[in-house]
Amino acid sequence: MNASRHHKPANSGSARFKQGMRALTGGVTIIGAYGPDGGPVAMTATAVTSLSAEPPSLLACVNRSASIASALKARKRFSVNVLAADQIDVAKAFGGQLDVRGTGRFIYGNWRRVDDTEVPVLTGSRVSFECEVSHVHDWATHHIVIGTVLDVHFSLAKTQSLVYADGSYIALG
Amino acid sequence: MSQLHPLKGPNQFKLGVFSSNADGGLAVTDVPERWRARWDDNLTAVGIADRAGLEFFLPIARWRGFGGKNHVREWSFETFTWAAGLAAVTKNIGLFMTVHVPLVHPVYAAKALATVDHISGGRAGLNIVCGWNPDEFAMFGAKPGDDAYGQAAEWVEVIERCYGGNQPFDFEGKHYQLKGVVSRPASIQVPRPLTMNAAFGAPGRDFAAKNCDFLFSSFSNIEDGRKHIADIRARSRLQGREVGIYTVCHVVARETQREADEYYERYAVTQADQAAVDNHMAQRKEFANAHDEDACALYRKRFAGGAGTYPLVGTPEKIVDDMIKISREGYAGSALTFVNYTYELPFFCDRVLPLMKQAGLRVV
Repeated sequence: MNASRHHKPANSGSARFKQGMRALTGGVTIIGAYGPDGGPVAMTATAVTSLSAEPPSLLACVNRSASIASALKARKRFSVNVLAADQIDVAKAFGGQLDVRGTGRFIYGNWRRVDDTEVPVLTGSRVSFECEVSHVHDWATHHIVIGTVLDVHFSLAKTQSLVYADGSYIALG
Repeated sequence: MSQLHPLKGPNQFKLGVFSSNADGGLAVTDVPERWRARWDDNLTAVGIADRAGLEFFLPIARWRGFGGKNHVREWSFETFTWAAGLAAVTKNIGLFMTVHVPLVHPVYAAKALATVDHISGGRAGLNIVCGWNPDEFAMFGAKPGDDAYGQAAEWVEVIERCYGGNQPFDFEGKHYQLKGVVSRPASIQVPRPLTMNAAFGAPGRDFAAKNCDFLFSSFSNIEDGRKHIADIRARSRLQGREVGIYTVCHVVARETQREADEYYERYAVTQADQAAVDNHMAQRKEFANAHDEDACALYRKRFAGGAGTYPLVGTPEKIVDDMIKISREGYAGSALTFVNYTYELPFFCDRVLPLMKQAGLRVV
C-alpha cells in the first residue's frame, strides 16, 4: 500500500468544502426571531433539517456571529419558514444579497406575529414552524440549535418550494 | 391566519383612495354633488374599492377646515376610529390612519394602531404627519415645533419598542421621557404596520428614509417626478432601506376628453369654492413644505381640483397613458381623489382598471 497516495490532509480547506457543498441541493428557509433589543431579525438559511417527529423537532445551524444567534439566545422562540418558489426576492433580502439592512429587510415578505408567543412568521411561505430552543451545541464557528416545534402554520401559497443548488435559487414547478 | 398586506401585493402600479373621510375629499368646490363624507358615503366607497381590488384607503388628518362657503374639510372623521370601522366591513383593502405626531401620544398611537391591525387581520397602515397648520395646533394649545422630525423619530421608536417585547421599558428621549411602558397586543404586522409620510423637505425625507416604507410625493409635471425619485432613493439607500414612492392625483374620468375637461373646468374653476381656495392657498404658501413650490404658485385650479396634486383628466385611455408615464418615472402607485367617490369610482374601476391590466400595470 502506498501511504502517500492515500494521504488525506486533516483539513481539506474551506474553499474545496464549499465547492463540494454546491452539489448538495436543499430547501431554503428563513429563520426569524425577535432580538434582544426588541427588533425582529431574520436570516436565510439552508442548513436546516428535520430531526424527530416524537417530539416534533428540527435542527438549524447558524453562525455565532449572525444577529439571529443572539436573538435565539435572548428570546428562545423562533420560526423556520420554508420558502415558496415566488419568494426568491425574500430569500435574497435576508441572505444579504440586496441593498437592505437590519429591520429594513422586513419590507420583503409578509411578516406576521403569532398572537401568544409573538414569534415572527413569514406568511406566504410554504409552511412556518414555530419553535422553542431546546438545546444549543457549539461547533467551531456555529451554533447547532435544536428547536422543539410548538406549532405548524400552513399557508395558502399555491406555489412549489424554492431550492438552492449550485449557488443559485431555483423555483420548482 | 392573517392575510397578505395588499401594499405588498403583485401589482406594479398600486392604487388607493385618498381623503374620503373629509368634506370635499381633496376638492374645494361648490358643485351640488360635492363629497359630504358621511359615514354611509365612506362605507359605499370603501366597498367599491375593496371589491375592485384597489390596494388602500388613506384618510386626511384635519382638525379644522379652510372656511369658505362650505367650511370645506371641517367635517372630517378621526382616522383611527374611521379605519377601525372600515376594517370591520372590508376584506382585502389596506387601511391607513393619518396621525399628527405632536397631537397624539405615541403610547396611545401604539395601542390604537395595533387595535386596527387586529380588527383588519394585518391590513393597517400609518401615515405619520408632523402638521403644519398653526390654527389647528392652536386648538390644542400647541405650536408647530422646530424639531418636528426629531420628535417624529422618537415617536416611531416608542411605537416600535412597544411592539418589540412585553417587558415594561423606560424611554429617555429629548421629546419623550416615559416610565414602565408596556402595550399589548402588539401589531400583527412585523415589525409594525406599514408606515408612510409625505415630507417634501430634506429633514422630512431623511426621516422617511429611516422610518417609513412609503413616501408620497407630488409633482407639477410628470417629468419632474424623476428628481424626487432619485433624491428619495439615494436617501433610503444610505439607510439600507427601500422606500416605495407614491403620488397623489385627482381624477376626472369620462368617456370623452371633452366631457372630462368640461367637468374639471366646472368643479375646479367656475364653481370652485373661491373663498375657501383663497384661504387654503394663503395658508399653504405661508406654512406648508409638503408640496412643490411651483405647484403652489402656478396651479390654483389644481388646488380647487385636488389640493395641488396632479390631475388625471380625460378618457380611460388618456388616464392609463398618464399612469404609464408616472410608473416609468419610478412611482410605485398613486392615491386618487374624486369629486364624488361613490359616483365616480364605479366608472373608474370598470373602465380604467381593465386597461391598466392590458398595459401591464396591474395583474389583479
